[in-house]
Amino acid sequence: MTSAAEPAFSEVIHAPLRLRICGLLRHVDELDFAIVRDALQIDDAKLSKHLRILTDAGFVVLRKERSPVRDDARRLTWVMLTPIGSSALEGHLAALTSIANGTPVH
Amino acid sequence: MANEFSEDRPDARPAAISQADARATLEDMEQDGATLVARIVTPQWYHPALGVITGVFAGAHALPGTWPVVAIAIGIIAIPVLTTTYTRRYGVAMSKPSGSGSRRLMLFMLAVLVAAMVSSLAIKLLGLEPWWALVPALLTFITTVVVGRRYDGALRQEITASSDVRL
Repeated sequence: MTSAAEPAFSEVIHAPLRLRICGLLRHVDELDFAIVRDALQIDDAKLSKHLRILTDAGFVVLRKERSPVRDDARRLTWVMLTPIGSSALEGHLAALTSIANGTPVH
Repeated sequence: MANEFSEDRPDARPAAISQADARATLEDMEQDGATLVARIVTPQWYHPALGVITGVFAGAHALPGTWPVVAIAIGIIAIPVLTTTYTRRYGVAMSKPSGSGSRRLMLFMLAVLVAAMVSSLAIKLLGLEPWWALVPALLTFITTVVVGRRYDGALRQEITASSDVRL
């Protein structure tokens, strides 16, 4: 599928892991932190670091929820792309697609 | 496939990205989409459970006295319990169709449910025996199970297709 958005390069999303995080979230309402971590095959610390950057930019929101399968105080963390993050992602993907096809983006 | 971008590259201008890097990144995203699709496998129990709930909605109107209100109230409580159980267990929350195919299937399921509820109400208004409501209830159950599984298949195909953002 080709993105219909105008090419708009985002420096926040540009880092490969952050782009892949947003790419996963693009298809769903929310994903569990552990699903994102396992899909990208990275550790908790690295994912947390990138999520913090995305959260600070307003591209992603986190929601904590008590886990029904855990006896301790640990909680599920749900990750969701915001409308701003979604727009930025589509613009960035359009820019990357243009570059991949040999069209310069400014 | 890992690409050549550094994670926090200081020069993030578009001009600094090569065509090969851009292609590699888009390929990574396509692979991630396939990984995600592999996680979105609805358990066998989900659609039968949802079918029972929608069947109750479909047949409830034909029941006598206050039973329709009770049955619908139970259904209203059961749906979020079912969806929350699923999302917590599998770590994926999806509430909307991801393309035209899954959207059509969802609308079809909703149309069947509405038709079944109207039929059930007609059974009551026409003074027929309440057990006739088992017919729309059963049809709704079967539709939910059969079309629900097709809906999941369509959803997975659409996610895979939309992960390939290259021209």
